Amino acid sequence: MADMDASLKEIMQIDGAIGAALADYTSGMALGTIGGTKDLDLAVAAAGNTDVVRAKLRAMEMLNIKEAIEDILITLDTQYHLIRPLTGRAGKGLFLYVALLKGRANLAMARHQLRQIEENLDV
Amino acid sequence: MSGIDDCLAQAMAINGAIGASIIDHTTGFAVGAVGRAPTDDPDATWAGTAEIVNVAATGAPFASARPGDRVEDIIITTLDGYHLIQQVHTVFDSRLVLYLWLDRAQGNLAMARRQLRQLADGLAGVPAGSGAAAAPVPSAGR
Amino acid sequence: MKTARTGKAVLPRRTLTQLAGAGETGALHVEGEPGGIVYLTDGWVSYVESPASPGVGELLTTSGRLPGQVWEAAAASGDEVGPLLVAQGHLTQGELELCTLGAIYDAAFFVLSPAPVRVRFGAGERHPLGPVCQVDAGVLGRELTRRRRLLDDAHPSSDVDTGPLVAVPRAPVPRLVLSGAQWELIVHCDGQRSATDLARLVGRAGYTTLLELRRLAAAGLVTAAPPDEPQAAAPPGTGKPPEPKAGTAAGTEKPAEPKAGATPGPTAKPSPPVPRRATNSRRAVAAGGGGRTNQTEARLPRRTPGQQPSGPDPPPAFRDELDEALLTRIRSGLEAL
Repeated sequence: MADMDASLKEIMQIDGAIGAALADYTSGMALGTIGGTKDLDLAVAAAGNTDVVRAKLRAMEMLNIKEAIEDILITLDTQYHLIRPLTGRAGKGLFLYVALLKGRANLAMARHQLRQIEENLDV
Repeated sequence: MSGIDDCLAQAMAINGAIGASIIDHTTGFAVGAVGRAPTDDPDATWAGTAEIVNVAATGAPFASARPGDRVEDIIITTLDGYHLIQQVHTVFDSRLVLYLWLDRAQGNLAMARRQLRQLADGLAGVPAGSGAAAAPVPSAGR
Repeated sequence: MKTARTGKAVLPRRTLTQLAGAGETGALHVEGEPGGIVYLTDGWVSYVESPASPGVGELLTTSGRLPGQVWEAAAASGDEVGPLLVAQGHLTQGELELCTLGAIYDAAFFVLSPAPVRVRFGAGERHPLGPVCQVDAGVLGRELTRRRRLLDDAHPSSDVDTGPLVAVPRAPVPRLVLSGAQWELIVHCDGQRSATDLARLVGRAGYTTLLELRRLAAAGLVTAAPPDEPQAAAPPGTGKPPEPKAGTAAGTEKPAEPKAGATPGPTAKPSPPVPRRATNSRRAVAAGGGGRTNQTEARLPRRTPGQQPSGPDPPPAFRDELDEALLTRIRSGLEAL
């Protein structure tokens, strides 16, 4: 098990990672952030992706779908934004978020690594 | 080359495809749909998809400070499959996405994503390989 | 060729359902504000046009997808314009279908309004665009109902639907996030242009323009222009109020022209709605139930942050105070769309 800071550091080890956050989608606030460059505003990113997660949850509620979202991937021209809601009871309402440079990231690997980090995260 | 029906038929031919549709993401209206929708109420599916696209399209690009970083696609992984949402970049105002529901066990996500991109480009008349060609802003505005 | 005329006002949607049920082919001319024409082919809706929404030609030319001359030439050829453009390689079949479908649903929203109006059916009339799409009248009707509900969900008042619009001079909140489409509208909300004018100017669908404007109204960014404002630039006596379209780049006016030949509808036939549109629009706003109260409501936010005595009339210098970084961000966000 790893705490938030250790987990965020680990996320930054993923190839192509330029920033990561643990955010609360009920409030849109980031509990912790790491990285960020001139190409990425993490606070804005966390808030923006909160909206995406909320929209998806709202849509699923509307559809009465019980199943959980595993992850959401948004592809921009130059970046990937990967969002992964926490599954544990303690992590309810939280999601991990990482932005990756498209040219340097291995998407399949990144998804896999993020899943492992999420599984080990203790909040 | 390909019209709406051809495009949807080809999307359904992708390995593991369960359902496909073309959705107007401003209104949540399905311009065309084939196969199954994730629920008994397809309209709600389209509306939900539209909402996700809208927030992603207005939210995510702001996180990237690079000019011209547009949302290309959104992939949502759930227990029952992958939900792929690909922008259709028509030059004229349309605000459409191509949506594909892909079986998780049978589908090949990377392959399906490529194929869907090609279909979306073919539909929008974007020459192959220049999928990122920006839709010009209407010149009339001044 | 028979022409059925209805002297008294009817619900256009009901008439359309009857015509569709009977498998008719022809054009249903709908009067009123803004009115328009619904084309039927064997009971299927094959095209709809309205002065309130850009048609296929306008969508293709204002966006720069087709040069005006190409559209004009196709329209003048006497052939079916849509299939011809595809055959000549100017458009893909997908583009033509998507554009036409979009235009149909968009125009139908305005033509098939829930108010009773006078209608006339010209049997056998066909649209020069040719066969592109077939839409079921029932599906169309249901979608329109849903779109009306979406509008009300965004902002439950029609105060920005007709009349001239103005962007509030002072942002109601310190930080805003706008979509590209919203920004385009705000910069062109000059106190004279209406929702329809704006849609045509930027070459975007009339309904989506309306939806964005309602959202902007809900956010307190756009309001109906106060009645005393527009005459500044407009000679009050002229029957034709300032036609904002005339002020646009040549590119907009040009492509609009061939429509006269290609689509007899909005420009030639239902002439009454066009001139009346601008003059009546303000009245429509006032008449719209609850319109006035909501208008005040929408304008409220711009005053609340105004702590300076200058309140509703901020100096133009205000713009310079905006965070430059924010503007840059907005611009890149816009480009991103």
